[in-house]
Amino acid sequence: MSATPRTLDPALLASIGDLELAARLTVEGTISGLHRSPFHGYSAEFSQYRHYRAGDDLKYIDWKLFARTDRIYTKQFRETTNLRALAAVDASASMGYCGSGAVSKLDYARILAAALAFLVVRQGDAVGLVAYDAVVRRYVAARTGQPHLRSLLVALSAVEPAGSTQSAAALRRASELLDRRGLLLVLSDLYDEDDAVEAELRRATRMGHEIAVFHVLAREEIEFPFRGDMQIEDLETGRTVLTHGPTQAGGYRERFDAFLERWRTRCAAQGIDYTRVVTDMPLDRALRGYLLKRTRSAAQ
Amino acid sequence: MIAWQNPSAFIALVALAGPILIHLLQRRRATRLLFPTDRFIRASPTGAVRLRAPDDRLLFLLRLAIVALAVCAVAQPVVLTSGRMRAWDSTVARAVVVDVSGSMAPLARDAAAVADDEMRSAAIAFRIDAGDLDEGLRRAAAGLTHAPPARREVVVISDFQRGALTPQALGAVHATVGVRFVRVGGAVDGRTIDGTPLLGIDGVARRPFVAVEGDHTSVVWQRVSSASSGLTVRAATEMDRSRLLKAVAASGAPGPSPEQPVVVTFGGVDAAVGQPALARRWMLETVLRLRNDPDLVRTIDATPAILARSQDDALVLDVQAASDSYPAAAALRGVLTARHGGAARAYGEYEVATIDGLQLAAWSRSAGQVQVAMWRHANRNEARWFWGLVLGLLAVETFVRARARS
Repeated sequence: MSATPRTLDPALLASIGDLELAARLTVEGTISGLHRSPFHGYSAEFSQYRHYRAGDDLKYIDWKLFARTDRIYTKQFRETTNLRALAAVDASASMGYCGSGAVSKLDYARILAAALAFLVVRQGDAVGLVAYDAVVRRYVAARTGQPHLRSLLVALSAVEPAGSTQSAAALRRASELLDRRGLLLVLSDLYDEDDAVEAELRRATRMGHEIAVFHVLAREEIEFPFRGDMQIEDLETGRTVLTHGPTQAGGYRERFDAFLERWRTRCAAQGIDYTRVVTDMPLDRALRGYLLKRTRSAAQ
Repeated sequence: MIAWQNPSAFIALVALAGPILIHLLQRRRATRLLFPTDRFIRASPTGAVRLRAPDDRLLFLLRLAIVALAVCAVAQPVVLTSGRMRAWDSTVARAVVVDVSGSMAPLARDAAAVADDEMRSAAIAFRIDAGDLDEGLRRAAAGLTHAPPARREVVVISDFQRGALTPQALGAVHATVGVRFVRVGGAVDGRTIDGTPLLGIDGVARRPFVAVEGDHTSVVWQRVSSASSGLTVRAATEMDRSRLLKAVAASGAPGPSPEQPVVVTFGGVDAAVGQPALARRWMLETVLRLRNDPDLVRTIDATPAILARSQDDALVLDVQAASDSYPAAAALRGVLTARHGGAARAYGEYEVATIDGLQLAAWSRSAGQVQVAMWRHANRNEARWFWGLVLGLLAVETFVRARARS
């Protein structure tokens, strides 16, 4: 019997403390049922034939063998990947926001990044880490193997939210650190100069990197459910705004929805995977959503 | 249609301003909130100003509704439906005015029985005992003004002596109020009354005949025809005698009777000691009455001694007083009164004419339909439903508040 809970509560995972265990739980709860590895390398070598089973991809059927034997066989490959992934985690002060929950956006991003790193390492690929705010604060070069994963997770655990976001420079640096085509996993709330960030993402795409953006948000940021008068202090700039929740909520939500939609369309236009995750979502569901999307696009 | 029995309660609607003002004017300390970014937040133009819309409109509206409904309940709403008007029309509010004047004393039991019947047959009834029917009518009309909605009626129970009711008093009763008269003791519309014979100034008795007809009364005096008047006064002088008779006649003394002749002497003019005393029973009764006459004892400074005896079937009374004195006149009057057996009632004033039945019928009228304006005095109103709504909304408000808190 599996000890993995049906859904992985972010607060529960965050309270575990052992990031590797949290990542393992997340991944094991996520990939069960996925037929193939979500991360594709760039070459595959034939391994064996297998009888065709309903649901198998038709493109792997060996039609010549079918013509000779009147039996349908499916070709199986051993993937020999040389994927290099780099998780770029926004560790600015705004990512320290918890809302009404127990998990900050950075905690959520940390576990998500750990799970992704775990997945990549598990299929024998290299993964690295960039934690940034205005500058790159922590960098772990992309390598393979469990020892490397542990050192990456230790570095990830040590990241604390601080400073203001300047994603553009950090993303430029991250894309340069991926010295050849690779996968850039961006986990951020994207509170930055949109155009500059978009330009850097476009540049990274042109460099041949595959990019996946995880837009990490708290529920309160989306719904703005506050009542009464509030003195709102920006976590990054320290600026304060005096406002009245109920009267401002409508306008806030309108502007925020436009912000989210803008990012979604920008990413779609650049062929970037855009996944919005909210910190009250079970982590396995968030990860599974992304992986399924990725699997589907790979199948196409 | 809804009418309000206590519209002044709407002044309490000012209380609605309470929650509004509290919501609008209360100063609230701004809550400090750390937030990831302020780029989507606009400084509220009313953020630092005291006036603002209520935060929770549902709760605010619920509370306003609770206060408004409570005020409506206190204002005592009455829903005027045709069914309710019909129900009011089928009931009677009756004021029973019972005449308790002196003439009704012998009829009090009959009057009470009639009054009880009248009160039992009405949904709302009250009784007014009045010595003066005009005053009773006014009180009844005033009482009915505040009666609950019903057909209104005044029932007057009396022997209806002439003059007991006036058209003016009836006019004071509102036209929609019915008026009905119930006579007790039977009608005495017109008659002639034989009065008690009274002493005339010539010493002869005269009988008054009082004719009561319609709206006037006439008196005819008739000399009691007899050879002897039955009174012999022996005074010192003729002048004394004449003056004495005038004075006593003017006081309304009963007249003498030829069958019971009386001789009155003064100052021992005709004193005859040793004569047989009081040969007849009426003589004895007269003397005893005279002896016990409180007026005579009370009004005379010095009660004269009076000696009584009989002589030739006449009662002879010797008064020990000068014939021109006041005690002499008092004694003569006392003697006549004692012989008669009591004070004279010349006009039979306890038996006057009554208002005739036709007049009473003309004054009678049936109760009009219930007026819409009577809702003001309705016993039952819809306040209880409003209170029910208030309680219901209070429960909803409690639920909403608890949910908002959770």
